[in-house]
Amino acid sequence: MTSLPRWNEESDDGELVAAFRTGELGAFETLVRRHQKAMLNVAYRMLGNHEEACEVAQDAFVAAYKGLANFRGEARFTTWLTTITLNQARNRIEHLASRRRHEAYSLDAPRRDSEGGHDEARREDPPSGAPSALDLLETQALRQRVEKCIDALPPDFREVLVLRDLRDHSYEEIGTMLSVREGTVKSRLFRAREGVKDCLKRGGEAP
Amino acid sequence: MTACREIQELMSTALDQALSAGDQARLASHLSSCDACRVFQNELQESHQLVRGVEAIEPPLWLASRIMARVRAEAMPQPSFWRRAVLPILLKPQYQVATLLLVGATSFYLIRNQSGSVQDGSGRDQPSLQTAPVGTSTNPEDKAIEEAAGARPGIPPRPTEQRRLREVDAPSRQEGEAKEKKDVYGFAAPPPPSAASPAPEAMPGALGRVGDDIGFVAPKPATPAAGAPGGGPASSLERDARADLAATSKKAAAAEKPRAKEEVLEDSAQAPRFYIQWEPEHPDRARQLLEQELADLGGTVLPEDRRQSSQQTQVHALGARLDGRRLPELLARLQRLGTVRSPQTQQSQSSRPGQVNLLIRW
Repeated sequence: MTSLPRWNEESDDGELVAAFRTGELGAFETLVRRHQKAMLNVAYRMLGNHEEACEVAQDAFVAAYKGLANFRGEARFTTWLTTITLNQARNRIEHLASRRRHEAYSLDAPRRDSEGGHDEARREDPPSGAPSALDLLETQALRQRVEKCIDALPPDFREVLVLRDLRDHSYEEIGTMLSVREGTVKSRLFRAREGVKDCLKRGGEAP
Repeated sequence: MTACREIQELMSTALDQALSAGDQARLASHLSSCDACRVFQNELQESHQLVRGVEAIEPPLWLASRIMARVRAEAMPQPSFWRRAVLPILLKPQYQVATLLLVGATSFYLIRNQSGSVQDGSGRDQPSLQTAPVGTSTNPEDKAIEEAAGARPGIPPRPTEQRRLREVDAPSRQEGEAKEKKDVYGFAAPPPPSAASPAPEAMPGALGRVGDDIGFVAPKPATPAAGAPGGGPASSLERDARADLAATSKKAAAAEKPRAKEEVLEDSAQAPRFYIQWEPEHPDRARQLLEQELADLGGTVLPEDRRQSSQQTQVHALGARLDGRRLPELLARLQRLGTVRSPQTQQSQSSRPGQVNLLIRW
């Protein structure tokens, strides 16, 4: 008599976590495929670099694999995983900042991705019935300015903006992820939005 | 202004539909009377829409598989620290043995080389009665050797270099020396040893040279004949006699050279060498007395040097081996039987353990 699998591709995160705890590595793989895009985007908005974001996403999932035994389920799995990704992204930002200080005068330093189109997602072919080339250029330029303004925010404000406006996390979840009060989340979010607004008014130039 | 900042922060919360009913009323009331805040709200809403319109990026196809590859690598059971540190040693004793053998062989080789170089250095630094700084030599032969060896003043060439140079250059050097001396004296003859003459130069390979020296040493040059002032050319008869003597002695020395050189090299490499210039009171009995004294002191006479002393010349030499602790006593006895002309250094007066090689000339 064979027991039915306790999880499938449609199982929610809690069921997959429980299956993984019983030794089902496939359950964890399902979690990876389900959340990789969200974690990659969080990392990408935090770092502004596609390759670095992929590295951070990998590190985050490996860290989650190591720490899943200690996941108590008090928060949603997504919240817990996003917290790990944010921590990995912060560490990477500090690492990159340190390296950039050492390479400040290097003429061979690669151009920042935010200074030009860099990822494949931006180079996708337009679908049929797309706007005109001029509209596309204007839209693309405007998108680049917005991304540049997001990148220009201080990390504390940027992560709140990303979590709220791009990932739709609630104030409470953001407070849990960042270990701050809800009022602090609101305050940081207002200042982040104001910073982006002012940046866009300057044409995308950071203050 | 402070009221405007509070209202503007409410605008941000209003974008998330998170305002309470009271805050919504405050916001509406303020906006109805504040044009600047209305402009601010429009700009904030517009930028908010732009931010929310930022497209998400798609993960590369390889991302999930790469993540899982790393996860599976992490899932592999990792050996414990002790297992990683100790097990390889326990499982591979042959590596231990090979390592020990390698280390032992390397150590032995290094120690042997080091001790060899120390011996070489001690041999080079051995005190000698005839030690003199290189570059100050008055002997043309030694000067040539020093020049050939590229010696610098104050740095003596290695004994092995001197010996090699002497052996390699011996024939040509002898010819040049004979020619030079012939030019000066009218025939090929070295100046005889005398009390007024400077002490011979250091001869670490002196024992090996004895045959050459004695073989080519001619009798004391005769006083220049009348009518040939200033050491003019001797008679052709005398020159022929000298040449015949030199050729005969050279052949005899060449015949004995391989064996003598081998023994001498062995001796030279093993014991310090001392050169003693002696003027006996009774030259005719000098050899007998000297051999007796050496026998009393437990020394041995080297056979090749007994052979090399020529009755036809006024230069006699005797090579011997003696316990270094008996050297001061030998010098004292020689002093009683004549005059020791060689410099009496403190080093020669002090006894030294082990065998020493002596070359005594009179």
